[in-house]
Amino acid sequence: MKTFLSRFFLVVLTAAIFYVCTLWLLLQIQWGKYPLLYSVLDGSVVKGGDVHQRFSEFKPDSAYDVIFLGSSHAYRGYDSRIFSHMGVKAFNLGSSNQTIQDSYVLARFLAQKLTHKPLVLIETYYGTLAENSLESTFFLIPNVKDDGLAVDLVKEKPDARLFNALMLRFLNKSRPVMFRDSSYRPGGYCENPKEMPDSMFNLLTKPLPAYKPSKESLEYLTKLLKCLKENGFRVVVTTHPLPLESDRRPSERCGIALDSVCQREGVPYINFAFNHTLNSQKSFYDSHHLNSAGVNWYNPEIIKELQARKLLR
Amino acid sequence: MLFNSLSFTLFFPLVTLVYFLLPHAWRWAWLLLASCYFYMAFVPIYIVILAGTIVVDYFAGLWIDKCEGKKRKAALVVSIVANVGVLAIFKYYNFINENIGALLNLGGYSNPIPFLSILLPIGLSFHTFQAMSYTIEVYRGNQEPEKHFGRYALYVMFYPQLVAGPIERPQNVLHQFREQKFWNNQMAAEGLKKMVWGFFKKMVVADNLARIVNFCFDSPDDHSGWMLLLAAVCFCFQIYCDFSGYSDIALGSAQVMGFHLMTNFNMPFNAGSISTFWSKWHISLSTWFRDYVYIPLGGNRVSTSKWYLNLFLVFMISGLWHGASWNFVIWGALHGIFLIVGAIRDRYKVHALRLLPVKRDGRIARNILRMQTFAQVAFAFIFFRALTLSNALTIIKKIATTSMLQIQLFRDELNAFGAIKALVIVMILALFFFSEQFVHDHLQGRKKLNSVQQTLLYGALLSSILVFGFFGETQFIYFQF
Repeated sequence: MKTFLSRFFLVVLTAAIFYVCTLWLLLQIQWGKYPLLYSVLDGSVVKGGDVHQRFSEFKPDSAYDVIFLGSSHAYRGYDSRIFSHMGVKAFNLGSSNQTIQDSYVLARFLAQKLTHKPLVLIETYYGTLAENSLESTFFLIPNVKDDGLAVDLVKEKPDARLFNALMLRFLNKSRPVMFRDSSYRPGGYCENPKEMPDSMFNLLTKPLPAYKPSKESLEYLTKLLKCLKENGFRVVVTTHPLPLESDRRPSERCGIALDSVCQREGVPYINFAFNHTLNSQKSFYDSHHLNSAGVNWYNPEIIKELQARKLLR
Repeated sequence: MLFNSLSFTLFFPLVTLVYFLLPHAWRWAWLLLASCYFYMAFVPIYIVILAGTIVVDYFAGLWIDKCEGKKRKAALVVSIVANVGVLAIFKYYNFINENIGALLNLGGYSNPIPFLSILLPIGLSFHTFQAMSYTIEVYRGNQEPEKHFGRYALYVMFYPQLVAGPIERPQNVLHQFREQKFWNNQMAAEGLKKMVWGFFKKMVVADNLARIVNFCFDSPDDHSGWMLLLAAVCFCFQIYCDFSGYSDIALGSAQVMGFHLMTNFNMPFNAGSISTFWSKWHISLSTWFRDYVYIPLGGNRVSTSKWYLNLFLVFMISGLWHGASWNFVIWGALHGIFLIVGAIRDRYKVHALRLLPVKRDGRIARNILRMQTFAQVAFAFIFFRALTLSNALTIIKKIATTSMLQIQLFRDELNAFGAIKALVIVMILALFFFSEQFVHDHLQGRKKLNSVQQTLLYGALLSSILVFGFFGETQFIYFQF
């Protein structure tokens, strides 16, 4: 048995050495714009872009009044500069397709690192409560500043692809950032001034596929709200405006589920989905993302709403 | 539970460890419990169907042993009807109903029979065939009926081969559950090696090839003949690595606990004829059909025309076993036709090789025959993989009418798919193609490697699974059967 175990661990050790060497080697071979490894490794995301810029700018010791969490709806829907003009110091920690599970890991990180406890605004829509995906974790792992946070993201979703992404993060540590997102604005917002093209507008009335919020996401939402409240944060859940012409059924089902969780946890839920008069073509750049004009209308509205509910100090 | 899931990496060592820690008397119960858990990880309720057929077959086995004459036969018929009945309801009911509907429509009538909205229990065709082989062998007197209900249930439910075979015979497995197993370093190491090779085949080769295959087969109208040809070739290796990878993991995980399951694949793409191909591909199924269908029909000890009919029928049924669709029936029928053509060719010694200036038993001739067999297999697999019959015909038409003028289109399609991704996949396939014989010989004990060489080989395989493997928990293709 002793021989068997020693041989077994020798194979595992050899595999580990081969593994690191292969990753390193593939990282050295430049193929087009990026190293070859990015074409080989399933789901790998390059270091850089808006997530990297956001987490580089974020200062945990700053006294923020509001922090935004959520998917692209968060980082494309909340402009910290508008909040700043209205006297509210805000920062946007949204990331591409951020799942509730990832928001939960970020919330734990905030609970550990922030000395000043701000209001945490969790932006959601029906897509946030759909099945859990790894997309946002792939974006976060190479780009968050804190190694511990990257490790926590992998620990929360044990998956070999995320482990690979983590290894790549460490191998890439000394490499410079590979690209910058020109739409990134200070405070974490990504600006898009484009209007919705006619071709997309004409498809808005098309019925969306049958939708059911995922049980796992709803469980994580409960954990997320509990975690934030227990750590002294004020919390609000929101849904930003959606085009009035779009199929309302998924949003309505999502709204009911969100309402029920928020009521149970004693957290306010502000639903702007169809509670607005925005012109879809002028205020959205696609079927569900606000453009700059939309953000310029919506942000002052949500600030007023938060102030009216005494959620902003 | 999928072999290529995180749950299995915890399940397997735990089950093995507890198995060896328990006293022999309790081991069957532990394995049965683990197998139930393994099966229930898919759709829990379907274990009721499995339990039902186990009870029927267990008592049928005892009844066959006790009775004589007609009663004995009746017990066998009850067992076969119960197993085939379950298959007919869950797998073929809607297919039969759909075809009845189509016939009625021809006569201007509508089909009054409702369709069933049910999910096919995972691995149903595998465990019903395994259960039938038990009662048939007891009936034939080749196997004593198993008195211990738990051990019989374990024969059907043993988790390594429960959902995708190998379809075992009672003579090979049942006695192993009675024997006391001791930890054996050599067997455990051999088993683990098979598992690593199986995981490599599934996660690195099959799942990467699946990307090209799915890209083309899901929308054949959008692709050129060259791209579809590439996908058709890739599918042959995908299904081979997917299914033989599963079998390797099954054999390996059983071997770690000291059990020997039958070999299911033996490098089938080395075959020089379709009949040799079937002696190397899904061996447990082809021998099942040989022993329980082909030979009872008379095999080749009948008139030539009846023999050809037997071959054709057996392969048609084999096609239908794979799936309730005309695509599978055509796939099976094509193999039947290829076998008949091969038999005629051998009978009249008409051989295309005679036209070529090569030695008939030389290396070049062998490779020509291999390529010819591969082309036949790949052609038939188009029907197996295509989503519909019309898709299969589109693919064949496009491949047949492709020309060098479409090379630029092919290049554009590769770019749309991702040229680097495609190149990496082709490189993985080439690596597998050239290393398979070496690893196969090593696993069969024909190629001896010293401990350093083994450590390097399996270390490299493990690391390539991590780097190049696909971790999306993709199902094994044969799970659907």
